Amino acid sequence: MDFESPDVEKDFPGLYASEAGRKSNESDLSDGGDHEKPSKKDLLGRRKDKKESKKDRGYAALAGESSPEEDTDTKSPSKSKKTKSFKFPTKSKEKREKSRDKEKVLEDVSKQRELNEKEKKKEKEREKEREREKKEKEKREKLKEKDKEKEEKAKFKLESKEKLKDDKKEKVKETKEKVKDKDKEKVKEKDKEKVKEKEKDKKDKRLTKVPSTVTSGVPFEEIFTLGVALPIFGVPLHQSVERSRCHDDTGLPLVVRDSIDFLQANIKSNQLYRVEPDKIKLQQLRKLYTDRGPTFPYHWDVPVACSMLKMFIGELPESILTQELHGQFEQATAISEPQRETTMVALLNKLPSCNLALVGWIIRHFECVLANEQINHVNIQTLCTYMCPALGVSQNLLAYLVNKAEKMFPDVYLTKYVPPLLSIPPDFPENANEISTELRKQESVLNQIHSEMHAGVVTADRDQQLWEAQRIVTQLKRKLRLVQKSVEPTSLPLQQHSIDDKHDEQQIEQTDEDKKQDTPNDLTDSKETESELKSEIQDPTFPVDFDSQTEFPVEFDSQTEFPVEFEDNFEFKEKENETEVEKPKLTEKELKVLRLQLENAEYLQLKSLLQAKINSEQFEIVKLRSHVALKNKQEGQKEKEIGQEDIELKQRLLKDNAMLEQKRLTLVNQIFQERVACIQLKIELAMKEIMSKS
Amino acid sequence: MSKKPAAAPTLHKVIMVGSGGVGKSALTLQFMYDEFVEDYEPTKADSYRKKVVLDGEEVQIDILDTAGQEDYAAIRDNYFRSGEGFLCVFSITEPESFDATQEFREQILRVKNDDNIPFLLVGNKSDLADKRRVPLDVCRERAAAWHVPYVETSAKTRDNVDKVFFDLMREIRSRKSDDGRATNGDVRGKKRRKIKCAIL
Repeated sequence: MDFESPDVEKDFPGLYASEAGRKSNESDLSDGGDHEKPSKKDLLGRRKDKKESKKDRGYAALAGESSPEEDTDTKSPSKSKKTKSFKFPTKSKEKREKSRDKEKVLEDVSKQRELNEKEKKKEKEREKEREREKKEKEKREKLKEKDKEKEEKAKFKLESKEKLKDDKKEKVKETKEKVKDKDKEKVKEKDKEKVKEKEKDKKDKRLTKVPSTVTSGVPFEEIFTLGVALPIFGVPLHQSVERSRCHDDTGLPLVVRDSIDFLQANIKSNQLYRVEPDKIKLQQLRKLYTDRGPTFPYHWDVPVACSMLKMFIGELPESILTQELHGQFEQATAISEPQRETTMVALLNKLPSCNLALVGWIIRHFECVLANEQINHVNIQTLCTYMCPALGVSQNLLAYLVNKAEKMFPDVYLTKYVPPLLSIPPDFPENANEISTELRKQESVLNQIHSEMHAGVVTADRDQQLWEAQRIVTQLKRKLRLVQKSVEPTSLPLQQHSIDDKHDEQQIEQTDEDKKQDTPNDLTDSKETESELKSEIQDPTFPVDFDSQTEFPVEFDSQTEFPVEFEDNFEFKEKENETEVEKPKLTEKELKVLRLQLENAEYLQLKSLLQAKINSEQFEIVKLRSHVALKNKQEGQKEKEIGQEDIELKQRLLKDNAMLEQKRLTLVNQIFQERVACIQLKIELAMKEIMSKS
Repeated sequence: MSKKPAAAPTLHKVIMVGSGGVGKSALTLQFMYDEFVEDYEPTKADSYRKKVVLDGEEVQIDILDTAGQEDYAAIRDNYFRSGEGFLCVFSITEPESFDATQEFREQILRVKNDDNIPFLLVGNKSDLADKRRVPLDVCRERAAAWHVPYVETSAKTRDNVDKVFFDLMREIRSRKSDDGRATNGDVRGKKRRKIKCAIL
């Protein structure tokens, strides 16, 4: 969504003219263009005009009567120039002169009248808009930049919504008119046009705020925006899955799943992969999916479902076997048998999960189709003729995959999709499994709505859906909790957390919980070990200290940033009792959490311990330094008398010291390792204890 | 906003906001199910619907319980837009949560772009009077500055729990009828609001 800062056109209201300029431009183009071969732009322009003529017919007629000036204006070129130059100083004037030169005066005149009217109307609107915006701007300037953007986004949505609504009406009209010679390509073209138009709108940055009465309560248009903003056809597979997915973890786009479900139900039909579909029906269905609308049985028939599948796959920007692996797949068909299978399986495993799911489902479905060849008369040849062009794979490869479907995709089972419930019926099973399956689906729905809203698709309708989905999720969660409570009446709040977390799929909560309950269960242990550790660490380090006094502060400085947390100990002790009481049966996840908590506590202990030690050593260093300084003063005179022997001795000592230093370092390392091992063992012990207690 | 079928009772959409751990969920659950949950469990988002009788009229209330934690702020924002009234909750034992109300208030006003959005400042945990750290005067002062009512509640003792929800619903209702009549909502809204505070 790239749109420029809204300030620009507030500062330069003249920019609005570009919009009208464009329009006149377009109509001129269509005038001048060849009418036998309507180009995209031509179509667009005409549509606009059509729309205009429909919309403003009454207005135009009225204006024509009430203002005779305008009539003459359109008839006489000289006068029309004046009015035009008044509105559009340079560009449109020239263009219009050009178009007049082309001797299409009659057509031109009527169009210009419409244009003039349109322009006048727009200008009035714009002026109002500008005033309103000035006020709004002052208000908004107080707001943070971020919110500004949001607002503009919403505004843009509203605006484009109106545009699209109009467009859509036109589109529908056209579909009816040109139903017979309409083919797939044209559809694509239209989609492109839509996108183009949208982009133009962005560039124009008209901030015409559509009165809410126009758009609200018209969910049709609102959903249409969703389809345009987040299309599901002709986008990368993973996007399509994100935008319109099955909410049951299969990772398939809904349209594919529904098509396959329908075809599986009609696996014995003799129309499978053979009969051309009813184009209108196909388009209707496609539109429904694009708009995320619900489909009903009457939307479906076998040829349409086949075509849907083909269309979806054919419009993917990339091969379903992915760009980089496709070639390898094709090459693998040439390998001789035992290796071929393993190669294929290996290649399949390299596919992204959504691609793998799609391929798996399609191939398993084809397998089913061919298994019923006796009845539906579809053989591999028919299938290849129909699907290979869309799939973009060779017949060989497809045939191979279908033949080996079971080995290639052992985990794929074609189950019918059960969509998430729209409300929870009172007789919903009180079964933890079913509740959590449904909960997963509902959360998937909820996530999708959220992501759509974050993408900027915000409508009253969506809002309502969001609240509803959220309510269902809450209801299910509550239900699940109740069920679990009744199953384990002794279970305690702590456990509920972890169960909830599981469904929340949010690690954040996990960490929250960790933070919240820094409750080590074996604090008494760690307290005991404190003294142990102390002796452990002191023994090896202290003797060396004298050799390398200066090193110590440097080495431990990095650790000084840790705050001393002796207080923790007291807290832990208090909480200990709680955890002792709250001894629920432990889930795997909870065990993990518990383990982490224990570890956390242990390390905190260690940290504070080391910190204390550092402090004491620093004190020691200061003390020793003063000693050294004192001695240096006393022995200052003796220094001069140092002879050869002394130097040798000094060097030897230095060597020894270096070696000792080495040893010291390895020892320190060893201590740390031992300590970590100790902690691990302690945790093991504590866990076992907890397990045995529970 | 959204049109409701004429047959269904009026729906008021209430959103609970406030820092983490101040008792938004506790208030909501107390209102919905008359239960008090001792254990703390951060909310991501929860939504509830209840039929209530508001001054003799049967209405539905949708309550959206939002996350106090910033982790879920993105989700929260999506809801703010569709809320019709807000309960801004803080804990009287926690000055930080009181400070945070300012932020929430600003955020709501930004999203709704409406200074007179039905809004109640709610000081929760009034049962913990001995641990009180936000003086009553300060709370009242802020509420007055915002031109919103201030109510102290206790989700534990159910003190004032119904009151905050019903007060807010009344505000939403009057606000809606004002909008419906397309009158100048500002003056009337304020007047009504003040009258309403005195009712309970």
